[in-house]
Amino acid sequence: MNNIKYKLGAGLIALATTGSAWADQLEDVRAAGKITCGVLSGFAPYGFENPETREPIGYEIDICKAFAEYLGVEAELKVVSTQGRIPELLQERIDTITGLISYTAARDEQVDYSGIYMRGTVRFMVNGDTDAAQSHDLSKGRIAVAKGSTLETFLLENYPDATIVGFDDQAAAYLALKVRRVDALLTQTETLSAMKNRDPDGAGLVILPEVIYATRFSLIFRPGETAIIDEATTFLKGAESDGTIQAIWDKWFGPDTEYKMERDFVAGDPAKI
Amino acid sequence: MSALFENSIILSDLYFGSFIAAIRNTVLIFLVAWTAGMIVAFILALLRSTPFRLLKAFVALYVEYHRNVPLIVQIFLWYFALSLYLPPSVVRLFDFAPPEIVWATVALSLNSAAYMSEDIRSGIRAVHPAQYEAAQSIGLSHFGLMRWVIMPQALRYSVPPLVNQTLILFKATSIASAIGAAEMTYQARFIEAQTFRIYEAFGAVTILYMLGCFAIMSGGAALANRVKLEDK
Repeated sequence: MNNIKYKLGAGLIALATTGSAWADQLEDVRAAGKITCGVLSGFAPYGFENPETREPIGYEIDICKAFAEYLGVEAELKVVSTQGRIPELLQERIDTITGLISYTAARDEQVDYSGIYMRGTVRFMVNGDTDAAQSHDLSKGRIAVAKGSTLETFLLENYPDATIVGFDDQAAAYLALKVRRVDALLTQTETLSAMKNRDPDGAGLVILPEVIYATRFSLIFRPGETAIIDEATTFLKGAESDGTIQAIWDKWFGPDTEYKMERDFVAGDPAKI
Repeated sequence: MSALFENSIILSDLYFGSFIAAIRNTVLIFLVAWTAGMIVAFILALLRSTPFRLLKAFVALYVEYHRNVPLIVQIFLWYFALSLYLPPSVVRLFDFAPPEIVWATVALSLNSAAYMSEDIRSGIRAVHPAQYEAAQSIGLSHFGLMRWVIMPQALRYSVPPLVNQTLILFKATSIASAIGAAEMTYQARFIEAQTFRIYEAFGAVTILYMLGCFAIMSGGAALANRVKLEDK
């Protein structure tokens, strides 16, 4: 009996001391000589797999690598799912996430945000033969989104009469639009045009010009790790002024890419608007 | 456990209403799929017990398809493809509910019917062959002997495997979330995505699935006990 009590007590002490209260993650990362970033796969051009090398590549991967270089450590990439990314971070299997995470107040209770490294726009895509009146009346329509995004909340608040249909992944939502299970698909503009360009029948779909929503993505850390979060924001501000962000942007979204986008954000700006 | 639900996000005004609606949808999908599945299973088992080879082959094919193709593919197929080729007059019959829920329920019904029909068939085979001969000897037709002699016993033998299948169906309703049917798993993933409170969201639905399964198991055990046949 005493033995059990002893073991329980020892266990509790061990639990209490492994909390993040003592650890300074920035020191840990420097001591280990590497930072492990959680990155997404299948979200071109943000984070996806290079078909030849099977390595993750993309805008967010380059952001992680630049941050590692700034810290003077190696970048280690770990592909995470949208579902698993937060538990992996909280259980300290990864140090940070560069994986399309935008700020919400509710999420802020669970994780902490650096400044932003990306501002993207969200638009509707509809079938090409949808008439103008219909596309203006999506407020009562059926709208597909990929599950796990903040767009669901956005739609709930701003399109209260619409029916939101969340799919496991972007491809299923896209297919639902094509077979007219839904009236529109709402997601990142770049992802929409990437899907449309890759689909032989993509010409039948139209991306509506109106910007519905802007998303701002940050590096995500465990709560309270202020040293490394401040370091990340400082890095982003520096990378903004020395042109690093512009170079990475041009590589993935610039005039030589299929997206041909103009950059309209300042890296390092606060996540919360 | 109490710490998990402290300042509970699920109980907050923002999510509570849709969470209750999600529970209702899970129960709805389950009850309709179970009832329809049982009816189809019963018909399939009867068809397979007839002497017509073509009918038997059809049932065998039906069962093999539903047992060998992943359930999620069957759901996708109904939602994204088969339902589009049905005549509009048939599709309109289902207009009372969102298409995600309708076609997930159709796929789940037909899938569980395949398994349940095998359970009933095993019950039919458990009835001693002498009973067929006895029934025929008193002049009962095939329908009569199935109706009055074989089925009453076969169904009793099939209760335990059918309860098992019912449990599997109850949990399989979660796969409907893949096409956007707003049931419990869908809602858990929604709350998780909005708040990152993954343990609370999935903890809550895990408890609800367990409670549901426990109710099915106890109900099934009571039923099995009540209809149990004495050993021959």
